[in-house]
Amino acid sequence: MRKQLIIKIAIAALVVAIAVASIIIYKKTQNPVADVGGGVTVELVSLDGETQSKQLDFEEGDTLVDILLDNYEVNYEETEYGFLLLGIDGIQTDFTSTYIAVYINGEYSNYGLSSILLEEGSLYSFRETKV
Amino acid sequence: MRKGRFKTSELTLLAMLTAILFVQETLLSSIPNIQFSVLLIMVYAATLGIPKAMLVMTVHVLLDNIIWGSLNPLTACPMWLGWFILILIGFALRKTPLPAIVAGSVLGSIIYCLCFALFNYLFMDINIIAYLTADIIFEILMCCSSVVTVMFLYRPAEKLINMYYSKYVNKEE
Repeated sequence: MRKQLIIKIAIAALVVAIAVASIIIYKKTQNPVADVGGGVTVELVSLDGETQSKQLDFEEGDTLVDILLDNYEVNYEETEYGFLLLGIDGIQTDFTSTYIAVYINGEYSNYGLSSILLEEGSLYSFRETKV
Repeated sequence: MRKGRFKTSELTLLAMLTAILFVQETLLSSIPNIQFSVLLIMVYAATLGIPKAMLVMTVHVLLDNIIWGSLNPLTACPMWLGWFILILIGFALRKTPLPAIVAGSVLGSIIYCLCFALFNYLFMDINIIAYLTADIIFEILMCCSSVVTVMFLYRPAEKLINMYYSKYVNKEE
């Protein structure tokens, strides 16, 4: 009986350690920072197709969120899932009828803004999209 | 009592069990995938049988989605399917030793997560590899919480529900 309990506690400790390690890894991957400095293009596309483009420089340790906050008027919320972009300059969404979709080099991003890594020469498009 | 009708005490017990399932999930919703839901659904399947466990689970899924997801079928359907498969696993393993039930809870947790991946892949045209890669951490967390809760609380919870069942429901015969 006592032996069984010890085995259970040992397994539980191992499982909790795995869970804690997973949370730490998750937290680290949530906010990936640039390894080196560089330049990217950021594009804002409204529902009617009007496009504004900017060349932006970033430094080592910067994130996509950092350069957006530094260069645009950003309306956002910090949620448990990360940074939720509601508006950027002229594009404002309510996240119910429209939202801002992020495309990286023309491909729809499956990750949230907080998880996107800045990469030299990349094009980040923020497109106002109907839900 | 006519066949197919619930006794008052049984209906009350099922309502209480549904409330426990829903409240614990709501309370723990701020911690991703740390939950007692897998434990509870497996215990319900083992003690109540498949039809009653499905009734509790369906009410829970409806409540959860009405409150948190506006009944979005992309959330409600995989959630229902995932819990349904877990009920089948829980029922099939009800007479097996605890390690098998713990293994079943891990399998059920993985299948539950994969149900969401499948629905998103079929209806949202997502990149399935990117989805699964991003989901691994959450699957690990769900498996971990399932292992710990089932390992320590499955037998006591099973005993408790059986005790209430024989004390209040069977007594009403």
